[in-house]
Amino acid sequence: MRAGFLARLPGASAVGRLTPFGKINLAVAGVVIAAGAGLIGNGLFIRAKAMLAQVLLDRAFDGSVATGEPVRPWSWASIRPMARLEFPRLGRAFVALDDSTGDALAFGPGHLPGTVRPGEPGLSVFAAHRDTHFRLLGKVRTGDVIRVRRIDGALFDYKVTRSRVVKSDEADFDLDSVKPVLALSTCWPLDSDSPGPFRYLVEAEMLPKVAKAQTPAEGPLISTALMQK
Amino acid sequence: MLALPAQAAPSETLAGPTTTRAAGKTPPAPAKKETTASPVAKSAAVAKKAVVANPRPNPRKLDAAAGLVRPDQLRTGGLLLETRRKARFLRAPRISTDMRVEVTGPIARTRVSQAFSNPSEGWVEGLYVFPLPEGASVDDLDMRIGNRRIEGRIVARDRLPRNLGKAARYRSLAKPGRDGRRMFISRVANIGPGEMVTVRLDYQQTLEPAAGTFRLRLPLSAAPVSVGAGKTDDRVSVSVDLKAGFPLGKVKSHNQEVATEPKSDSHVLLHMTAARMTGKDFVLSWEPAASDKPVARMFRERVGGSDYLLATILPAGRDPSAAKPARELILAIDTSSSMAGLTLKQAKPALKLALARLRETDRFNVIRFGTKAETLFPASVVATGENIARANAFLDDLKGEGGTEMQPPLEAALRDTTPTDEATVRQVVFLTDGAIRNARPLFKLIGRQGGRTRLYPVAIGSGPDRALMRRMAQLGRGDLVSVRLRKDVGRRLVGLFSRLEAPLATDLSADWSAVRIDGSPVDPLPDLFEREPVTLVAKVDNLAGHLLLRGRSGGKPWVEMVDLSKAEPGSGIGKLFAGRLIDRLETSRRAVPRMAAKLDRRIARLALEQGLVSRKTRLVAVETVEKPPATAGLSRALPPLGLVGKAHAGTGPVSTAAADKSARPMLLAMLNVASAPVSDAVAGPIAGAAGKLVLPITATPAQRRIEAGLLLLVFGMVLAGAALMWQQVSRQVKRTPRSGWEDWS
Repeated sequence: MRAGFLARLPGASAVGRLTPFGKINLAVAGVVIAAGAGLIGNGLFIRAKAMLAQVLLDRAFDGSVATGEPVRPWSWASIRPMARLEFPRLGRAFVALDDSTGDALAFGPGHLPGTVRPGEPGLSVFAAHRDTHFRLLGKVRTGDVIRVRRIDGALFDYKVTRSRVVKSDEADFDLDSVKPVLALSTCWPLDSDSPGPFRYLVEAEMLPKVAKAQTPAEGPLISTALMQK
Repeated sequence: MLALPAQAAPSETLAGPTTTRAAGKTPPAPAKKETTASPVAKSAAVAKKAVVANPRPNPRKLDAAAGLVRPDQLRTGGLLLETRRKARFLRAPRISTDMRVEVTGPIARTRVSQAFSNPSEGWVEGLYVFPLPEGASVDDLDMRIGNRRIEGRIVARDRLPRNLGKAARYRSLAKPGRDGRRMFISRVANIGPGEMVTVRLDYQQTLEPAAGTFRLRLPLSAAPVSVGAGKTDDRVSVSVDLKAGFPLGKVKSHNQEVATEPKSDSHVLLHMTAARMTGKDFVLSWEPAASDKPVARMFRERVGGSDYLLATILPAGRDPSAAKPARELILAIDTSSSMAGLTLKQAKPALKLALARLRETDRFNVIRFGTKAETLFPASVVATGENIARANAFLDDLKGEGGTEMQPPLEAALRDTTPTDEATVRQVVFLTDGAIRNARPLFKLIGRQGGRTRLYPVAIGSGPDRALMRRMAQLGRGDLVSVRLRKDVGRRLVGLFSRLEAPLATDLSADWSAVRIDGSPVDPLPDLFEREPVTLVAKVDNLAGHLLLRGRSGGKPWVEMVDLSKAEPGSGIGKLFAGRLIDRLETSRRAVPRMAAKLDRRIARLALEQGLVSRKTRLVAVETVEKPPATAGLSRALPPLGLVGKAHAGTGPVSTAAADKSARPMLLAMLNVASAPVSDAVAGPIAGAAGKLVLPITATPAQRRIEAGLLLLVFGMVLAGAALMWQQVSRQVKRTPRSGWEDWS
């Protein structure tokens, strides 16, 4: 008797003869499976988006360097490439955006408004998700070179000086310093799956200019607002 | 300026006189007799007495005594230096002030150039403050601090960097002053010891004539100031290039003497003869000369490759012997509940007076509207005594109740029963205090009307949207009367009605067909009243062809051809054009909210093109460091911006640092002085602005979702398995014969 029941279990014909209770049970199971599949799909979509956007952004970046104007990566995009962050030792590169709010970070590392552009004197901060683009920050070591190529063609080499873990609002940067510093920020711990107050910071200092680099530090900076109603 | 004028507390500050009063009141001793004492001694005395009289002295009074000011107390442009007291400043010594105004028709463009010096021997931070005249908008700025340069740039608002530096700290100071004046405030950081600060500021305003008189006011009411010990170096020069666009009648400077230099009947140059602050604003007024026929003039300006035209039309002066045109007056009165009380009480006598002044040949009708509209006569009637008595009774009965439905009464008021009677002017006065809920059908209704009807909406109180009402008036070829205070309703209505009695130029139209016009807002022209010019602006492809103006003046047809090539050069026309177009776009935006995003983009584009501050654009200051010149010291020798002027010819820039050393040590001690620049001039403000950098959250929910999804998947499968298993078990149980159970038991 037992053997017979087990043998008949996979039979699809059994479903048709379900009792009401069994039907409800099966329907619930279906919903749960669908929800699970949806969540997995959504998670994979986030990662796929991060990867695909980088491909498109890479193209837009080359276009931007060629034209000198930020080019949209796709026609309805609200984001624009700002610079390319290259990690020569790891053989990876990301196109960073000029925005680090809301959805922008889904597509690439974002520049923190209020900090200077890379290459200029002062602090320049980029942030990216720890499980997409900046997953590799864990592999970046002190002494590594980070190469930043801006869309105006200027090229800067930074050397990683230190990495540290800070609370999101307690990164005591030396904001008055005129030393060109690049900081890359992502969430800590790198392999956790819930957002927390900690950030992993990789800081790098600019190396003396390479041959091609221009002198963009003299460009105008917006420094004051006129308050007018 | 640092040294207080010896005779009394500074009259430039509001708080100055208050102090004197306070000093006179609190102690029984007559403090006023101390006027001969030195300012410092006096300040100290005031402070001391305040302490004696009151154990907790009023800090404001102490501030005033010490010469500290708030930005909103300035009555002319000034450089304010930060002190140890929060939000209280010390005025930097003024070296020179130059204001040049170019008037083109109703447009006044003013260029203010001022120079200041840092009286201290350290680095100071400051604010440049300028009290703006009403309706003025700053569109350009150029500041020099040593070899640093701060330029104003118009930037789209959504492109503004989120963090604009320390400036944000001063945002609250940009509030209108106590008397409602708006202050232009810009931060000036890191002024070096003895360094000179020069500021150039451009602003534009559109002057509104009141009873035919244009009035221009320049904020210059500051006390004359002595810099250092007796050495005065506070030069002031004012010049006005007045191109009125009509033959000028009386031109009057109210507070200062001016030298005039007439160029033509409508063009005159004026210079203020005094070279010092006189303690009063510079006020200039001018009015048109009487003329027996309408006068049309034209100005041109080339901006960014396009030509802009401004035409002004002034009606002929009133000829007392000429008969006034016959009129048809329609009064539409809002009787919703909000009109009850004061408003109706004020309006009724004015309306009755309007009816009483109608002639026997005139016609009229009265409409009242609330939730429902009610028309007194089926069609307009002749203004006989009997009809007017009926109308007065109708007006007496008006009570405020119910809501406001505007469309039916407007439709009734605009309905013209005798459209062919061209000699009669049809005037609709539409009185309301209600909000316009759906403007579009109203606009359509008015736009469709055309013909000889003119609409004069009267907006009362804060309910009606003025921009929408103004558009209604524009489409209806009349103009808007805006009454903010309900107690003014009667007075303003009487003014309107007496004005409406004598339209001097009617049925005006501008024919641009001989001109290659380029996207200009061509609106129907309103009727013109005595001494009230109307202006037209247009963007044209080239300056060829002519503008044909038609209309009726004094009942007779009037035609004038204005040749475009003869247009005089003017300034600010492009901005006026863009400003008017933006106003129109803003109105459309309010009337059709779903178009908002599209219109916003157009507004931003227009404003950026013309360099205008609008809802979508802002003026920001951009700082650049000029490279030190190859030959060091050359830059010092060059006259700084704003000092190259007629008034300053022969007097080169003077370093006032030496003179300032003798400035009152007590005042200087209050300055917030640093021995070095606070931070690097270029990187400082931005990096410093971040102050506390908050790193964004950088974790996607991807991993969590995938994990949760997997869990759900497994759980679902287990559930499904369990369901099937349960099914199987229950079926098995059913199939098993009863005896089976017995076996088990």
